[in-house]
Amino acid sequence: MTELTSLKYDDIQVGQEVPAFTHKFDRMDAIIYAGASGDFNPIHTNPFFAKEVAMLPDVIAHGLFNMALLGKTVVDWIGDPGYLKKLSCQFRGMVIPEQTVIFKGKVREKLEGNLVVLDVWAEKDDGSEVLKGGEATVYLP
Amino acid sequence: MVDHKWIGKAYGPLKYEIGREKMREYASAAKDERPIYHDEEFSRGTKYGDIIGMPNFAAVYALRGAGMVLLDPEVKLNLAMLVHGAQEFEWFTVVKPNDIIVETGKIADIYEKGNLDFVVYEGEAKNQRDELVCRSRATFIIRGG
Repeated sequence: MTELTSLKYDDIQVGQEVPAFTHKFDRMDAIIYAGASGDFNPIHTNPFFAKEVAMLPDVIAHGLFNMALLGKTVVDWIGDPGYLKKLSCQFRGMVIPEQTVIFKGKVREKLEGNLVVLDVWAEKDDGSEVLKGGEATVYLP
Repeated sequence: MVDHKWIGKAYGPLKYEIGREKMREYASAAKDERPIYHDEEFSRGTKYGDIIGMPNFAAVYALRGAGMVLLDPEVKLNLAMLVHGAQEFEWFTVVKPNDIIVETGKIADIYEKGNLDFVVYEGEAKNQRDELVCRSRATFIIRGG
């Protein structure tokens, strides 16, 4: 049987950091995500609509795309996607094409029942907020 | 301002059949090529026995009611001024190909802060074995009131 997780609950320390994941947003990402998710709001895909109707600087990444990359960052660390029990975040900063976003996490506390709670967030490479106040709860054997 | 009388408005039950290629498409769109999402042969050797959906695939199978809120002709939200403000997912089991998901949801709250309107959707997704799969809570913000 292939094990997906190599982390052990007992080895986790409060304050421990999750390896960061970095992604440079491309306008094709939003077009592909629109198709995969079914969210065809033109603020994500149509530059004319984004600028002239919605008064945005350009098309912006779907919040749920950014959140999915945050989920991926946590799963990259825990290994087994089934061990991700909860994920939440606030969508704060808009991400426009060619901006680079860094997804991060840090262990906040260890709970009974082999659960670990993490602070998770995302920021641009200039330090500005993208996903804020995020929390992930994971199970570890 | 969004009329508060829509608090409690229910959506669903909404049926969604989990498709193998759709699971893969979503994971790839979210830049995640790990084999447990894509490779059956690899997945057969794990406790899951088949590929599983990326947790955030819940954005597809557990948020369709939220999509209905956005397009609801009675609630009349201004999509050009709307952004997704916050999201929570809680998972209870994984999804696999051919699972039949049934989502039920409601507008849980409507409130204002300054010139921003907030609309909150809460949904619950169960599978064909009546197991709870995912709870979701989406907060939408409409700029300009």
